[in-house]
Amino acid sequence: MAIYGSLNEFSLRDILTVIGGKSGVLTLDQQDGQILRLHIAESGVTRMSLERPVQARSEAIMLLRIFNQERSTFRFEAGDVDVPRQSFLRLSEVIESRPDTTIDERDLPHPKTLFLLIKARQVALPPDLDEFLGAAESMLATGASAERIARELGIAVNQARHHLQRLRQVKKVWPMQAHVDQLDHHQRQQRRSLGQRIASFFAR
Amino acid sequence: MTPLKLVVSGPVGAGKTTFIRSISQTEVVSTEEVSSEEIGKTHTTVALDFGQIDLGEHLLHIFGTPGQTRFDYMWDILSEGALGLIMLVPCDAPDEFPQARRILEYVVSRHPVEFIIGLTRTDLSANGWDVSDVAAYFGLPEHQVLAVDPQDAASARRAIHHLLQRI
Repeated sequence: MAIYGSLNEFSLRDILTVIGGKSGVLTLDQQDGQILRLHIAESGVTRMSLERPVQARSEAIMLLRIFNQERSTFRFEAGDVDVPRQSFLRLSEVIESRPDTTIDERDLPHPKTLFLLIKARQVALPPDLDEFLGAAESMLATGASAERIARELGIAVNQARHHLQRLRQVKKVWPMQAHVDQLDHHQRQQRRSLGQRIASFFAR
Repeated sequence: MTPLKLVVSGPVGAGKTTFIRSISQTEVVSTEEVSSEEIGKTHTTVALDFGQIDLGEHLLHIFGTPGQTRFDYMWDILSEGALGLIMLVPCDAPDEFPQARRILEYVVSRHPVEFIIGLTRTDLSANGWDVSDVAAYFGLPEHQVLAVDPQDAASARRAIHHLLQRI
């Protein structure tokens, strides 16, 4: 089945993450009729065209940025594509790019969603993000929301949401899963036991 | 008898009310109103749906949350103390996925609830996203996403069983 939707709702980063290692053609269709086609194989873009072939990497990156901002639809059809010896753009270059200051509003988390610091992950951060992380680190070590961080640091909630999203993109923070991160071993055992007992009711 | 709580959430039109109606042993309390926004259906849940199942040792209360963002204060109220969460997502409405992910991350980061994604409308649409793509979008392992038909009691029970086995 196809992967499709609207770029009003999805960021290109999300789409490429879902496509992952699949092979096929991703079509980005702008309302004005311009169609950008990306041939994808082995986690890379092997060919790109916009009425004519796009050959320069810089042009390809620019076009992806433009189409990502426009009101386009997307559709990925899986299938075999020609695989040249070398991809001309790796998907990871788009997905895991350095956390610059441009953030997709579509990706911003809810102000109250709690994020947790991934301590083991070492990553070079731009100065402003490094400064934010330094100030918020103790809160993020146990789980903190943009709303709380903004209050404690005296910054706007939206600014905190942007910073958290940038940190998330480089996997330095991740949304907490409270049932894993907050329950102790004994509480988890109690729940598991209860879950198993009542699960049998639904197996009948 | 201590009641246990299960929450069924998801964006508008995912099948939450139908899911609860298909498995509840009691008449479902629904707070449906005529929709004041263009959301693709005439009625929508504005506060909660409520049904229950007698498990013998416990009562299982099943709450459905409203799907619209303006009722998001209800997500916290209904998730408080819940044992688990089933997030229903219609496979053929990808524009609702970001909202579903936002609700899911909001709830599971704030409340210690185990959860699964129930992918609905897989039987109705040949043009929906499949389980593995939806799992990739939500950043979850594939076994945490399963196809669910909210109108089919057996399918709804399987989803609850799947969730409870994860706890």
